Amino acid sequence: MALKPEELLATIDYLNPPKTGWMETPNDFSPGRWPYPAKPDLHRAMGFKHAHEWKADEKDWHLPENWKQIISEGFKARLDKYRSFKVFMDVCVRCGACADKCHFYIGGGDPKNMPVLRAELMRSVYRADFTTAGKILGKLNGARVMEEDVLKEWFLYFYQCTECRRCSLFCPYGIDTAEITMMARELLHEVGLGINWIMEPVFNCNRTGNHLGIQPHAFKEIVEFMCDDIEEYTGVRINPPLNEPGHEVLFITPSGDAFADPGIYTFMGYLILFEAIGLDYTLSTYASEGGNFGLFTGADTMQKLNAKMYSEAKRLGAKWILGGECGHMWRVINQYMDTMNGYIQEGSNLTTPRNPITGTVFHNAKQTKMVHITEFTADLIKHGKLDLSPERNNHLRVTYHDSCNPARGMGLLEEPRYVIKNVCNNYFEMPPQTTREQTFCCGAGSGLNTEEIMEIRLRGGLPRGNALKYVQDKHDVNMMACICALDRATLIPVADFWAPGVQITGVHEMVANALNLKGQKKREVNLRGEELEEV
Amino acid sequence: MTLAQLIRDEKTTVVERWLDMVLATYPPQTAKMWKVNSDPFGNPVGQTTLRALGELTDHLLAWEDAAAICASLEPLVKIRAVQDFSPSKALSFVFFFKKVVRSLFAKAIARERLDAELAELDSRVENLALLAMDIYVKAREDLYRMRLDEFKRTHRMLFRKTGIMCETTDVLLTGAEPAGNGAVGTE
Ligand code: SF4
Ligand code: SF4
Repeated sequence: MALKPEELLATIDYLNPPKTGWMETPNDFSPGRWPYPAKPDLHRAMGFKHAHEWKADEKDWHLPENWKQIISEGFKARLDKYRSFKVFMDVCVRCGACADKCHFYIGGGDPKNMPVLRAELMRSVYRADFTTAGKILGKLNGARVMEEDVLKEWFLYFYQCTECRRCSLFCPYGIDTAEITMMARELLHEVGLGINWIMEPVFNCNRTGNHLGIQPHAFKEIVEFMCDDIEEYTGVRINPPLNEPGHEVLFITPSGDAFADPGIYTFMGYLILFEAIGLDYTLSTYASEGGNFGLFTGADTMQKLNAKMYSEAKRLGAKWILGGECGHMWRVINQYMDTMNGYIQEGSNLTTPRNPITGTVFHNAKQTKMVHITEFTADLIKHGKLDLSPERNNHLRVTYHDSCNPARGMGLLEEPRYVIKNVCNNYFEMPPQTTREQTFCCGAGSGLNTEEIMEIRLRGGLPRGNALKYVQDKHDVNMMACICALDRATLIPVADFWAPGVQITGVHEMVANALNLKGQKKREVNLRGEELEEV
Repeated sequence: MTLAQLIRDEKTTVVERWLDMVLATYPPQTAKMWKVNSDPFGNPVGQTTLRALGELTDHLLAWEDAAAICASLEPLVKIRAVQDFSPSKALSFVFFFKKVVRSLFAKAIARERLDAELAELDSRVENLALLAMDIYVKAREDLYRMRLDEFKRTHRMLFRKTGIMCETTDVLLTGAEPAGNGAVGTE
């Protein structure tokens, strides 16, 4: 039936927002508000027996009949397994310190994106099911039973959390909403609700070693393309070893660096660096993915995908592992790898990493045997081992985006800055409340870098884009560097939309553009093939 | 006394009332927070809105420089273009200005017979809305282009490997064979 104009206007009655309490506000499943569901065959292949066909905008999500029981038992099992989870469910005093610290809330204003309310989506169920007060007082105590709508709401809002942990920085109790999100997503996967942008990479990684499912021969060819380009631009031919046993170092980086623009230039940067210092290393096609979308699926999946790092190091006899520029990869390595898969190290050649060029021993990596490439390069620069011509980067006015995981997850704050300042002459910081530990997410971490939710990503990326715009206006910044493969992809639309004209680069792309190679020809173009001004 | 003068004298009140109405398009808790937090980096929506409305108030009175008007509109319209709004609701903020003026100055307008000036101001508001619409649509177009571009970037090396992407459209226009990369063909 046709609406009269006033009726249409009544539907956009902007002065009278819905007066329902947050728990009752209905969920909106319009397109663009949710990522596409996982393909059931991929989901099932990863061992989830309730994987099924469903669509978020249909009423019936075809949940398994006993879904409530699965959730309830899964919830309980996780409360028993992770003490932190139980504490996070219990101790929040609703002080509100975290409320306006989440980029999704800051950009969009939906109260359910306040970290405290996001966690409350789970806590309310926890109260009803697992606390005496909740059982007796029910809603009065903020408890609610697990109904289908509640589950749908979990899906909507736990896929609007990038697990960036900014909120936890401001919580007096250190409540980590990221871990709550991880639990919620695990439970959702158990009843067959996952998203394809996460599940397909997980499935591919499990089968062929990397997110895109590129097989070894194709991976080799792609690396050769990059070597062709390097030769064209520098005059030096590099032949990186692949799957070769007997080298000191195994190098692992996210596959985004191998396949995606502009990550490829960072990959070329690594190759040039290794060539310049004569590093004894190999790449691997089996461990051709540093990223681990298992982190966004469930602990078991994460463990399985991560295991190949040590397994491959062991098989190839490497002494230690060097890791490329990636975000969540380092969260997994730094916080979970040793606990999950440390046992694989037994009987391998792995030892505490030592920089063969400088002699520096990385005691911080004693446990994991894995060194972050910016630590490694910073050490090389500190010892004067690199012949650098930073003036080749003079056309760049650079700022640095602290990627959430390396910054908040492992405290890697100084090394990338030290490297950047040594390879380019114009460096500018964004405002302090948007960098280092307080850095703002790109808006698409934790597997949310899928294009169908671009609006969500852009509003989540607003705080970062807004700070970037500020340094663009103030200092003519034209390049934002980062050390995360996901960022290299997701910050491009963020910059394009909020600060058009700023480009995105990995740190090692700039390193290699400044780095001189023995026997190189006159460097007239950068790694993107763009002409350099005479310097 | 002209209407413009009244508005200029009471600019702080005008902007504040306008801001309140714009913030009322968000949930009440959010409106409250965005009103009080004055950190432009912690509260980009509230602060950008405040700044834009102040500038637009001046522009509506001066009504001179279209480029400057668009520059003031753009940050606010772009924000609202990616928030959870229908297009009409996203752009409704422009029309609130009419309501602000009437609610503050109705009596003075009647007393001083400022109807003609009010009508002119109204038509400026309407033109402002049209400018805002252009910016809004461009922002949405950008957004869709970004979705497509992202897909291409993600698969760049695969496209290169399979030779299904052209470096430039020249190839399509002239039908000429693309240069370089030997057997792998185009990029
Ligand atoms: S972890 Fe990050 S995305 Fe999730 S609620 Fe906290 S601030 Fe928001
Ligand atoms: S800051 Fe911590 S205690 Fe306070 S509301 Fe947020 S999660 Fe709860």
